[in-house]
Amino acid sequence: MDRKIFIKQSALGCIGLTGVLGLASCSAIATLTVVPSNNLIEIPLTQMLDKTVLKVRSKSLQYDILLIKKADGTYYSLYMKCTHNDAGVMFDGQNFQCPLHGSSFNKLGAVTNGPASTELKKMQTEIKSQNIIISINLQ
Amino acid sequence: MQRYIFLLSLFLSLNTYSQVVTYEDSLNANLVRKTSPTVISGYGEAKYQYYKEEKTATTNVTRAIIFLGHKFSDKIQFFSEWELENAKVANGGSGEFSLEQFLLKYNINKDWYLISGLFVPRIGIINENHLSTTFNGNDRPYLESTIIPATWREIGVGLYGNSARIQGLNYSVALVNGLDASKFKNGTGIRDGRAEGSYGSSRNIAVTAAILYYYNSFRIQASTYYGGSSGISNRLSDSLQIATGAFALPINVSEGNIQYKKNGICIKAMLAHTFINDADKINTVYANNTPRQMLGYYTELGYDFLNRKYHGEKSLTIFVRYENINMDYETATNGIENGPNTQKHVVAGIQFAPLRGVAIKLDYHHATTGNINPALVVNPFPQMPQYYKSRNFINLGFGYSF
Repeated sequence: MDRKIFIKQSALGCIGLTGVLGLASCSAIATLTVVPSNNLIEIPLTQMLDKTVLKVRSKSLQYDILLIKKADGTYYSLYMKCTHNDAGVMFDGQNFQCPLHGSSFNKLGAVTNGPASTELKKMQTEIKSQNIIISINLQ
Repeated sequence: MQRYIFLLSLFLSLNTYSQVVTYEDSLNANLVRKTSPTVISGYGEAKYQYYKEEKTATTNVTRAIIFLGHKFSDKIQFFSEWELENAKVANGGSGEFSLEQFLLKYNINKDWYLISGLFVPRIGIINENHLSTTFNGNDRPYLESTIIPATWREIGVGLYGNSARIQGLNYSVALVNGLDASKFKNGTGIRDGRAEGSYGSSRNIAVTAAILYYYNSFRIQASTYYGGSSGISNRLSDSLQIATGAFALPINVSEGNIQYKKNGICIKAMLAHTFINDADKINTVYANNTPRQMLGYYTELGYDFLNRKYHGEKSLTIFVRYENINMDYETATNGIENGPNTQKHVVAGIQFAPLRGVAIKLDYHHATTGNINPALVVNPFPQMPQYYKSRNFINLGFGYSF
């Protein structure tokens, strides 16, 4: 096979595949930047009316928190830090992926692929007076 | 009297400083941070191998690695991997002690980070994710040690990030030192031309870039490497009549791979290609029979019987992998084709992980190649040992990571 044809076909194949799948899930996760007060993050319930996930970002936190709405209307949140080594994980819509050593976690934070062996850190999350309250506890 | 009081004070003060503070005590006393900024972890693998045709067997600690990292601040971290291969370096041992990673990481923001130092660029699967518990079989896929010479680390600067607009999309781009064409060997491709952090030629450089995309249970990646392989002095360049400079005697490695993982089923496929446009010039000067093109692919299918019950906490996986590698896909105009460079591998086995960090591995490896080209045989039979076009191995080993 001619080199140029090979490279062209490979590149087109990869771009095409990525493009098709990309278009299928081109919805970005909304990000909300907050300023915690007394280690508490307060998010109005109205923020989640049209969403099931929300990335919560704060300057005081090294990594984001992903707030997830369950089918029964309750919420939980996970700290997006890989439990193997100090690295941020990313959420692909279904799973959390760590690009550093390939660990992955499901939507509940449980490990689905090593080398990580412990689940993602859960933050206490509750609803109070039309607000979602996330307690920051990184210990 | 004052002298005695002074000596007594000194003794007491020394005694105080030499007092052992246990980790638990120091935690209670808040003398140290509860989350240590220094991380030590590691991985490794060892195996027994039976070679059917020669009726020989070997045992070897393939590699043992210590990972040492330190978090200076939320912005700046240090990572390193210290690797010992084949157990013994001193006293004639065939081992190798080397740094696999040695870098500083700077978090630009929550989506982007910079790394600088000795690192493994994102090329293929194994190069970045090579922990022995994350791949099936005792040996890493052969394609990823030949055409992609993992673990391929070089010194440079890399920018890594993920898209805030498209979930699951990651990018990386890096600038690293180049390869050394004078060290290429026929049969191992560009592998011996790597500097691996040791006096690498930085007059010639390379650029690598990768797109990595996670979508549901798929992981899709495409990457490319383009770099010069000649960084010799101008005087030597004139003398040898061969180019030198940033992208002189360019090497282009491209690969694409896709993985699917769901409900215990794991499917992997990879295609990799190397193009060396000036292979004939390299051969003229260095006489190392460098090919113009190399091409290979592999596919792997695995199934974890325990997935339904343990969801990966424990696993019992059977797998089969087929690899087709042609290190002489196109020989240079002044090159010579050699049969052993055309390889086919079938590896089938079973792997048991009693927990996530440990894997016990048993596999059967069947390899076939073409015949040795008689023109390349310097010492013919009976001096040369018999060459087996078909070889079979039984491997039993374990891997760990923590």
